Amino acid sequence: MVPLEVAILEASAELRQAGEAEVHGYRLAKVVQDLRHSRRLTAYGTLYKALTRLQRLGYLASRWEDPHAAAAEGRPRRRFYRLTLEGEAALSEARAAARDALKNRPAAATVS
Amino acid sequence: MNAERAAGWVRRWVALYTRGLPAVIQQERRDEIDDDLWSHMQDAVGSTRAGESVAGDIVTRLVFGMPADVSWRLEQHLTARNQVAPVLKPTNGTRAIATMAIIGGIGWAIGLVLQGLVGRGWPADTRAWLLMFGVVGGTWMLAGAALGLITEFQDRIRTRASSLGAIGALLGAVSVTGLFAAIVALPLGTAALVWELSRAEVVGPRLAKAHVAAGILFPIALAVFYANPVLLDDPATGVPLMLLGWPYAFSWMAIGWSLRHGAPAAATESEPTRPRS
Repeated sequence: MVPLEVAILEASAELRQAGEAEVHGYRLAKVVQDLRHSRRLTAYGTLYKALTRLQRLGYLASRWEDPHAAAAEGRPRRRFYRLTLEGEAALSEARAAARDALKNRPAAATVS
Repeated sequence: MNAERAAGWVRRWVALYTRGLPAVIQQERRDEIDDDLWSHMQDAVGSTRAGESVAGDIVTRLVFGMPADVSWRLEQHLTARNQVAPVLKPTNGTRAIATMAIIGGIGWAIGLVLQGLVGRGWPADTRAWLLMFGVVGGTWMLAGAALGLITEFQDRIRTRASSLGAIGALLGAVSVTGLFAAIVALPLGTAALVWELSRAEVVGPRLAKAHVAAGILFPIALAVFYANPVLLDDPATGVPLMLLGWPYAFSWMAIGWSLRHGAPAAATESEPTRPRS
């Protein structure tokens, strides 16, 4: 997984802990922006391509909301994403790999 | 520049790079980006940010995402090429519809030529049986196929199209009992129905276009006949006139042929799709 994909999974996990089990693309982009301390929101193409890939990998699942519900609120219909069990496992692995990389960094610096 | 204008650029770009993709994929991508734009602008209203700043954000997100959009588009192409269409096992219903469409189409093709040869009268020899099979049997088969399609795919087609198809089928079935002019309703009704079935991805778009064109062509032939009935008395003019109904008959055969292994399943959106091994 590329860093953006890990960040999306992180964002999904964080939002779920906060009680938002299902979130739409823009909401994810906002949380990813905070997590990465980025000045800008992730570009449309980059964000939705990553979401497509995460779904293909089975790490995220999605559903479209009822168009009537969206129409009642006067906005476009939404696609909601949720973290799957596979996504959680992949996130745990990515976190572990990041921790290992952090641990090994001083040793690697000494060798070089 | 304001945010709305920037959003317009994004929508135009989305329309451009999703062009030519299946309607469902196009619509989903458009809806998703629309929601993102809407949420972004609502967010900005909440935070009282200047419109130009939001427009700048939108344009930046658009420009930086373009390479990924192009790459996504290429992936869609490859996926479509490599993916096996989600085909249902043929149900008895689909098989029966396919058979009726093929037999009905053959019947019409034979019956029309024969009608062009014998003219307006009903032959007294064995050709009467062929005409009976072709025109009467063929029409009932096609009407049955149309009603079968409506029943089988009722959950995937809109009411207006299924109503038009049903009216066309019923009037077509009745027409052979003496109300001949009512036959015009059959091709027009099924044109509306098959067009809708194409939208529901049961019938391919090219086949649907051919069926609609043929469904419009045949009533033209009928109009010519009703304007000048003597044309049918001479095989030299009667046969070519009746041959204008062949595309309609052949389009039904093609629909039957395409349905003989079942119809593609309705698209489902709820679960993640796993990579093909």
